[in-house]
Parts: sequence; C-alpha cells; structure tokens
Amino acid sequence: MIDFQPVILGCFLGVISGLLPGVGNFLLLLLATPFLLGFDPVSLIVCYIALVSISQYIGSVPAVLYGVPGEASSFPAVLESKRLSTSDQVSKAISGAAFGSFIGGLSVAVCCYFLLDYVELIKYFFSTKLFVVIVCFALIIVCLVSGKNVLFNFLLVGFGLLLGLVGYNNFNNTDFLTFGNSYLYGGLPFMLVSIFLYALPQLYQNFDAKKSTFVNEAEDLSFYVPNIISSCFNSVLGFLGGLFPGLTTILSSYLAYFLSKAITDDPVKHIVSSETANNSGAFSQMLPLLLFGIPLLSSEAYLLTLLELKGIDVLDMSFSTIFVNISYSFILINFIGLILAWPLAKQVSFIYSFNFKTIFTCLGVLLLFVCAYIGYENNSLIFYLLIMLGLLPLTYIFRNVNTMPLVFAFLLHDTLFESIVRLTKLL
Amino acid sequence: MNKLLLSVAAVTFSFTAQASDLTVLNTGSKSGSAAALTTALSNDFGKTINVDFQNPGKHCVAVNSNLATISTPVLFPWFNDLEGPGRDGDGCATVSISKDEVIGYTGSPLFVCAMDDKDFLKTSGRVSHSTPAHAYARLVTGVNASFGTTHTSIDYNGSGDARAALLSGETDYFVGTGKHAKRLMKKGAVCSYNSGPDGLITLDPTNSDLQLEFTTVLVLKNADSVEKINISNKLKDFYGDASSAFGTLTAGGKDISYSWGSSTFTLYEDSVVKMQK
Repeated sequence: MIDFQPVILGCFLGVISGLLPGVGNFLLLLLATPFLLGFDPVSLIVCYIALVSISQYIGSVPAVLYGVPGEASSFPAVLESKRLSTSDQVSKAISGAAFGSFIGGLSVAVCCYFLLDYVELIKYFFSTKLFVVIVCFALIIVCLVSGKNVLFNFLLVGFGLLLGLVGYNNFNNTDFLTFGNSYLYGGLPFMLVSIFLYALPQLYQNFDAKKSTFVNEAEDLSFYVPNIISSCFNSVLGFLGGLFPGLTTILSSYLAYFLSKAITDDPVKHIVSSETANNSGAFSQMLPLLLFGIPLLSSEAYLLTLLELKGIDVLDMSFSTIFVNISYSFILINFIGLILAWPLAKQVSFIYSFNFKTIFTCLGVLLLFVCAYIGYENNSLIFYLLIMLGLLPLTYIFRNVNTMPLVFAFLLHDTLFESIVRLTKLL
Repeated sequence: MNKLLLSVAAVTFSFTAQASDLTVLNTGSKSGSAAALTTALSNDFGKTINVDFQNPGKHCVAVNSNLATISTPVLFPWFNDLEGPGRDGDGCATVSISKDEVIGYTGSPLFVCAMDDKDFLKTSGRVSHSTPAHAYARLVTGVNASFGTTHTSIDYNGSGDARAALLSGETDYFVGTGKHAKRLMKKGAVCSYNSGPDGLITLDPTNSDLQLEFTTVLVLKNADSVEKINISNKLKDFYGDASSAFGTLTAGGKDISYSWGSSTFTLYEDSVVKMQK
C-alpha cells in the first residue's frame, strides 16, 4: 500500500531543501535523477510530494528558531522570528507552524478526496486577469505591512522589478542592461538575489540575537486548537495561492502572512498563518500537473520530464487512481513532517544549535560556497562570482532593511510583466 | 533499502567532477521539450561514456556562452523557430551549422485545437500559443489572410500556460505542437487543423504561411569523423531501443520521428527560411 523508499528519499531530500538556504527542490531533483529514474510513476510522484511537503515543514524550523530562511516561502517566518521575545512564543510558533502545516496539508487533501468530481474546476484559476489582480494586491499589501515607511517599500518593489528586468526577455525579444554580456541574457539568478539581498541581511540582523530558548511543551497544542478556523481559512488561501504558476507556495505563504498582519499584531499568528498556507499550497500546486499535465514550477516540469522518460504521459493516468494511490503515502508524509518539525525540531536543526555567531558565520560562508558551486555547475562560475561581487555592496546597504518587498517583486517580475502585456491584448 | 542508500550516495557523489568524452548541451529552457531530449541523451550516453550535461536553461546563454567555450565534442539540439528570427536580428542567438555537423532531424507541424466545435476557419477568436510569438503568429496571420477571420494572437510563457488558457476559457483556440495537442484532446479538445503538408495548405495552396513546421536538428560539433560515426550509431541504437531514455521519449519514432544523416540539413535550412520574415 505504501512504498517506503520514495517516501524516505523524498523526506531526506526535503529536510536538506528545508534546512539549507539556496538548495532548492529543483537542484535536489537534478542531483537525484539517476535514482528517481528507477522509480515507477506513482513512486516518482510520491517522492516529489514528500520532497515538497517536508521542505515546507522543515523550512519553518530554522526560520523560527534561528532566523535562517531554509526556503523562499519561509521568508515571512524569518522576519517574524525576530519579534518572538519569549521561549513560550517560540514554542508556540514551532508547534503552531507544525500543526498548521499538518492541518493545511491534510485538510486540502481530504477536501479533494470528497470533491474529486469537481476538482477539475481549478482550471478556471488559470486566468491572466485574476493573476494580475492577486499579484498587484499582494504587492500593495507587502508595501503596507513590511515596515513603517510605505513609500520606501514601494521604492524597494520598484528596485526589485528593475533588477528582475535585467536580461533577455523571450516574450518581447528585448534585452535590458545586459551590456552585451551573454551570461546576463539569462538575467540575475534568483538564488543569488534572494541570498544576497534577503538571506544575508537577515543573518546580519539576527547575528547578535539571543539564541532561541525552545521548549517542547505539550500544552502548546492548546494554543493551536482555538485557532482551527483561522487555520482552515489559511488552508483555503494557501490552496488558491498554490495554483499560480511560478509562485505557488511562496504566494500562498505571503498572502496568508500579509492578511494575518493586517488582522493581528501577534508574530506567532503571522508565522502559523504563513506556514499553514504554504503546506496547503504544496498540495494544490500538484493538481494542475496531475489533472492537466500543466507544470507550475520548473521542478514540476522536471518531474513531468522524468515521467516522459519512462514513457508515461501523466494524462494517461486517471487522477482518481493516482490520488487514491498516493493518499496513504501523503498521510504518512504529513505525520513524518509533523514529528520532524515539532518534537524533533531541535534535533532536525541541530547544526544551528552550536555557538550562534560561529554557526551564522559558517552559514554565511556556506551560502557563498553554494552560490559558487551552482555557478560552477552551470559552467558560469566567473559570472556568478562577478554577480556576487556586484551584489555585495547592496547587501551592505540593505543590512538593516526589511528587503522582503524587493525580493518579492524580483520573484514576481517575469510573470507579472508578461501577464500585464497579455492582459492588454485580452482586454 | 539498497536503492535508498544508492540514492544518498548519488546525491553525494554528484558533486564529483569528471573529465567528459561528450558534452550534451540543452539549448532550450530548463523544463521544456529540449530539456527532456537532452536529459534523455545524457542518460543514455552516460551509460557508456563520460558525459558532461550542461543545462543553462536559456538558449541565449547556452549558445553565446556555453557553446562558444566548448572545444570538445558537443551534442545539442537546435531549432528553426529560434534560428529564423535570430537570422533576422530579432533573437539573441544564431548557430552556424555546417552540413556535416547535422546528425539527426525531426519536424512537427502545428495543430489548432478548440474545446468545442467552433470552426477555426469561420469563427474568429483569441488564439493562445507559446513563444517565440513570431513563429506561431505567422500561422494565425496566414489563416486570417486566407479565410477572412480576425483571430487575435495571444502569447504565453510556455505551451503549458497556453493550454491552460484554452482550458479556462481565456482563449478560444490553442496552437501548438502535436504533444500538446494530444494532451488537450485527452481533456476533450478537438484539434481539426494542422500546418502539415496535408493540412491547411491544401485549402489555400497560394499562402505558404499555412504550411509551417517546427524542426529540430541534432548537431554534433568539434567531433572528428570517427567520433561522429560512433555517436551517430549510438544515437540510432538508442532510438530503436525501447528500454533507452531516448527510445522511450520518442516511442521509437511513433511519437517523435527522426531522420538521420547530413542530408537532412537541407530540410532544416528550408524550415529556417520559412521562419524568417
């Protein structure tokens, strides 16, 4: 009934993806390709779901405990972790995020099970108008809630969009600020921008912070239970966010975070909201792939490629059959995620538990190494090093700034500009 | 459990660099059909020789940066829909290919799909397609010119998004390759017309825009004659081997049909000219 090999491999990869900034799901899939090809199609899908789900569970742990963004959808948790002043708050944030993720992941799966005949209706979310409206709404909200100076936040958004424009755009056959350098045609790598303009400034801001005192207390659960309605709302929000190409769990997480910030000032609730939503989004992002063969992320497109290499068209597989086949594994994956992200949270993120400043320094160096390694893997080491050098002054300038609006805008630029151009044709 | 241990070992040892006998270069996006093709080739060749798989994810970077610096044998796919606009100065890259460097060729017409029984030649609407817009839009413009329709061409970032637009009702028609048309048909779409030699062109032989093929050549550069023969022969073996990744991807020619040899160079050149303004 449950094939444990893909579950265990996916969970192992998910832990790495969730713990280490810059090491994303796509990179891990590439590295594990020779062995993924040995899996049958359902096992392949299960392994991918385990990777995505566990990375969401684990990502919240170093984010809350140490202010280290393991993956992009944990950026809100990193930001809020600085406002957790007591061990009680930290414990609540950890247990709340883990339970929220658990409820978020399972509730949408259960809903899908009961609404199998209607689940194809998600196709109506593939709408340029809806996408532009939601993204513009999210950009405005991020400016309003990311600090006191709203105008400065809008400038950060503008700067993020400007950085995003660098490169060659296939959509309109133009290049921007490439200076004739063919490497720059590919644009500024998102990983470098997110590490240098978000992760490193966050590490700097957390450098002198006191190490979190985290105690696993059973009564933490009592905090979570009264928030079950809010959790369901965030699950729905996350589910919807997960359906948007290129953004998925990140949009889920940010939308829930921004709305939570507008409603309450409690940092614990902000963290729980965003973590609940991103796990819900981790499930819904798979639906377009399984239902229509439409990948929303490059990692999903790669999964589709692996299936094709096995001679399988995902549309030849009945969705209800796949769903039933993977559902037991999915429940197990969520239990594993819950255990790893709550009772074992300290153990999972043990590497961060040594001397805080030493660890942060090592982490900073590791991040630089990861950047350089990925540059090497892409045969672009010199280009990556030059970009890193170019971004360093900005890292310094933004060392005390909440750069979330900048990174969020940078992440959105591609799909946002394309969608706006397309919208003008559709209207 | 052994598989699991092997997987962990693979992740670890993937970081180890090796000298390569052949570089396989993906000249397309990180997740499109070119990525599938080059992943399959690197897997198959990698079973017998050292392969360096380079996957920069943008054709501009692959051609202008990666390809320009590789001096050892390198195998890569190249496409008429990129070469045509590139030669017109619209794209960011062109690849100079000699006849001897071409070892394989495949072509695919475009298919027109709708979710209902609307007739593409009679009922105007929005048409979703992928980029490069120029190539797809040529067919739409051709139909407008020949049949008096007023279709609007809407470009999306990838054929998946273009399919999604048809499914959601954002567009009325979809134009894309056979692989995507098949997927749409499985979801109830009707694909009545195509741009092949037996398709739209038969309805108006005077309009050459109605016949359009997306072609791909497999190019081997920096190889001597012995290396070329060896790699070409292996490629054909993979194509005929149902257990190989390349054989599975192409279904031995049932899904994607390849022709072999330098003689296909002329077919490719003709298709490039058709993609130019």
